[in-house]
Amino acid sequence: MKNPLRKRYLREIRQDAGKYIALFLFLTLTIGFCSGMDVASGSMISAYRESFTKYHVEDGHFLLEKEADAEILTAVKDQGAQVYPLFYQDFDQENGNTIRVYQNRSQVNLPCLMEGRLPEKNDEIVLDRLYAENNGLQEGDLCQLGDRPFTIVGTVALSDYSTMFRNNSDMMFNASVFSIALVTREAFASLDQSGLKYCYAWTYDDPPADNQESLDRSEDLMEAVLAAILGMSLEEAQARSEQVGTFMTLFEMLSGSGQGGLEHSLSQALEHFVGSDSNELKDFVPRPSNRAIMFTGDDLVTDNVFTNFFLYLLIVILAFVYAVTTRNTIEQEASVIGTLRASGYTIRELLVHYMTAPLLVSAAAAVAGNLLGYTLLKEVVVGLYYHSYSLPTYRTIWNGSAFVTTTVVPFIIILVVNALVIRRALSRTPLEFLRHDLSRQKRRGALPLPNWSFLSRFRARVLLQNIPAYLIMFIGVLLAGIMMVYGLMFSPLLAHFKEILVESRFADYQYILKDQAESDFAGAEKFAMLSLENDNEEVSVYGIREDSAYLPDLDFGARGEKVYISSAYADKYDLAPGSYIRLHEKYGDKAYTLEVGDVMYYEATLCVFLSLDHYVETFDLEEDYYNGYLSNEEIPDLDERDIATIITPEDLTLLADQLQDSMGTFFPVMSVFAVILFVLMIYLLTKLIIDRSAQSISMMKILGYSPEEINRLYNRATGIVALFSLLVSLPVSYFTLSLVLRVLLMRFNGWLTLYIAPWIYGVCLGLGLVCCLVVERIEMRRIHRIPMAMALKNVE
Amino acid sequence: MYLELEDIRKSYGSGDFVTQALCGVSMGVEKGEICVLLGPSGSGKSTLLNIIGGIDSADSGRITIDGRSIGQMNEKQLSDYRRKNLGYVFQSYNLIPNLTVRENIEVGAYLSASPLDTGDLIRVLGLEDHAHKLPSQLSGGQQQRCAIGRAIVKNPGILLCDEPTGALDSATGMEILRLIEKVNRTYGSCVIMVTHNEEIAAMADRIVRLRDGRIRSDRQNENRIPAASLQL
Repeated sequence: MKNPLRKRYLREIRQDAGKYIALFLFLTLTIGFCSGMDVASGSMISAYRESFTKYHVEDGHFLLEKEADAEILTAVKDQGAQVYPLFYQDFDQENGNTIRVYQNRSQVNLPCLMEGRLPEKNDEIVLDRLYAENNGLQEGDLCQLGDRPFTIVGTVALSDYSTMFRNNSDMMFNASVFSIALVTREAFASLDQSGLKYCYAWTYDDPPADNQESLDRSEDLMEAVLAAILGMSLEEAQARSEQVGTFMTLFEMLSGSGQGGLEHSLSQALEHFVGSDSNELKDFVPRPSNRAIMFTGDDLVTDNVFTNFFLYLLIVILAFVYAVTTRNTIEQEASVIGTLRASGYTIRELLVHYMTAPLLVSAAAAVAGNLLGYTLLKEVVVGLYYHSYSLPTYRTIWNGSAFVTTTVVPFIIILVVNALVIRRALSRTPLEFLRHDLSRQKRRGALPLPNWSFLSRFRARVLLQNIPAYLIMFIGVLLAGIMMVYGLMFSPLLAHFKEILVESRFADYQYILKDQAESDFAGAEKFAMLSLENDNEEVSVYGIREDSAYLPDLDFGARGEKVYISSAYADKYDLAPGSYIRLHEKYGDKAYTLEVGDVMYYEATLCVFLSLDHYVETFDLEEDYYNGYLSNEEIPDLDERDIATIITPEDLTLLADQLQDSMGTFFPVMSVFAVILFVLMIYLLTKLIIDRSAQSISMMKILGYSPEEINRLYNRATGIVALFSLLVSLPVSYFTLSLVLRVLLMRFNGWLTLYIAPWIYGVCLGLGLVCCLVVERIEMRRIHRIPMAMALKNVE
Repeated sequence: MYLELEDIRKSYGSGDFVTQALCGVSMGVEKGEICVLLGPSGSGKSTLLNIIGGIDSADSGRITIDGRSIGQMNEKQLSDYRRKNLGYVFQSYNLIPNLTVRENIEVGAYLSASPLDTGDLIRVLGLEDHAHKLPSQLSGGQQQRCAIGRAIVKNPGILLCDEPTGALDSATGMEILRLIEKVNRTYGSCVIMVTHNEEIAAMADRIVRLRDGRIRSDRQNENRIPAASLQL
């Protein structure tokens, strides 16, 4: 015979529909979003990885000053690699955007056509799909390259630009202002060639097994290329590896960040070795170091980790909500349970019985969540990723591990938490159930309360009777509050960050020079800069005049050999005066240990400031060395050919712009989740307390209390706790946010100052209050429905 | 004897606040007997019933049912003992509110390998017109009949009734007592019934009077009268 108690499951779910629907919906959405996230990212990671083969993605590339001669190409081939020219030109648009144009590719880094077709005529062009979307460009629109208009005939994704880093050492990528484009071979040849970049991609004949092998082999390849450039044998070049290393650091600074500007020194160095007409290696990027290729994959994987952490946190809270409400049911059914136990029902049978309804709902939610995850929500997540990255087309892949992490594990969490809590609740003797003697602690009498008003004391008693339930609500609301702050704070944070970047800039223009060039402009002040690395990222090292008009607060004289660091650097790496920083060349062996003398308020980048004399001495440069100018106005008398790059305040805000672009859509989703979680918590716990107190409420009605008065006694206590929890969550959210942001920003170059706009706290509390009032209205109806007969009829 | 109790002792509390609930109770009940435990509140009759039912434990003494001692049983064995041997009826009916009358009775039937026929039992209980109703749709007497059905359906050796008429008016109470007697006669269960109502004792085969945790008298009822003739 089947256990007749099973007939209760659906009836219980129907009778407690409000609770179960709320839990079902929330669980469905949570599992749906997370499985959608996992499936989408899993499918996209798969498409991303497959793209390396499918689109024949390079194993690396290097950039030369001039077209490679036969020796250089042979040197690459001798390393067991094929080399392909991937020449390009950058064209500025009227709106300040940049389009990097390549000719149609047929051998390496092949395009994935997203819409339309590839260019066939000489006035046709395809753009990056994401850039086109961000700028509202469609097929048929015109795109200007120099003075020539091109018609857009399609959009593509290039796997060597899945993340739109213009240069590999850029702080951030931005697919709104930078795009790649393809034109026909003839069209490319007919463009103004003055800005042509001689880029060469290579692929190994025998692909490396992993990134480390790829990096190791790329070092050999780089030495071979350098040797070919210098006209040496590889052995000679290796013997002079120290110099080569020094060169590479210089090359890297020049090629990548636009902040290096040591081309003058480099040219001098090259001339020293091989004469002035030699070629120059301007950039060398093996695939594992190519952020335009690798960043997307890293981000997809990291997102999964964050999502699953978030999922498990929510699931644990939901599991406890289930458990607490089921425990409440057990308390209400104590007499029945006592009778069943006295009749011979085992604890195990009852445990299974009371766990079944929550597990049935969870299982249904898991199924619904997965269906949603694989369909609608997956599309939402894919949309988020496609909004950030220029990914190729993908196909949805059944992801077993996503199913385990987003469905099996949450289900097990719910099962285990429920089993533990319910087992504990059922571990009373049958007699204790029959006597309703379920309190764990021996009764010590009522806790004495201060001489508060009757209402306050009553509410305090309600609170004291339901401490476990309120504890769960506290944690749930705390989490909801944190999520709410996260969801709301993002845009103001970035806006504020931009403001302080602009405020803290020390000059409107930083000119980085290719060659030293004198200027008579009144506001121009010489400085020097190079890029070194700590163990994680690039750091700009400035040499500033001691009497600088732009950085008057730097008192080098008082600091001796100590250096200033920017506040961004200090914040990110917890540095303070007295700390030592170790910076090294990217490719070379030289390392520099500097003692921090003081911190300068500068949030834009990670940088170190030395006096110009100290700088020259530290890096062993000529006495009158400089490679840039600071100015608050454009310097009119500099020859454009001498300028490597100009850093403006807009360049400093790239990080904020990109974060807004890539994550701006994610945070509002979090806000919505937060509000739902908040309402759910208050609703379930208020309902639980009303259910538990139904008998008393019935009696209160008999005594003459109105539903409104009863509401003030029971529901108000819940509202007060909810708002209190929310209030506590605000400082906690600031604390956790600083931790999360730190972890997040460790993946990026640069730093972002944490700031939560004060109005966000107000909005959070306001939203919380509105949620409480809405739930209170709903629960008022429940109070209205409790009959007075309940108190009279109950025989116990 | 089907049920034998020897020197059962039970106290509650500790230190200066110890209450002696049972002070060396010894008694026996034959199979098929109706035994009434009679006494005022606090006399220990419910405690004794709970110890027999294995839902409370004695501090000392020996209990054997059908030759098997239950004093040393662990929780699992006790549960199994209750499952196979006992049916419980309480003053409060403790029915499952969202199961029908038939389903509530089936809850008891599930525990037995050879339960009584639920349909027949419902007819015996006089609940055939209410079999598909929920407890909330029944009167107190009907609910108690259902509770008796749930207890008896597994055909237990012993039916333990704790003040089964305590919450009922006298007419309904009479009805329940007649039913208990009918069940006893029909299915041969041994009935141990706790009550403080002297009149009910008249229907018992054995009457055990308790006061302050001690048996004041334990006698066979020579003048037993049918439940239908009781004057409550």
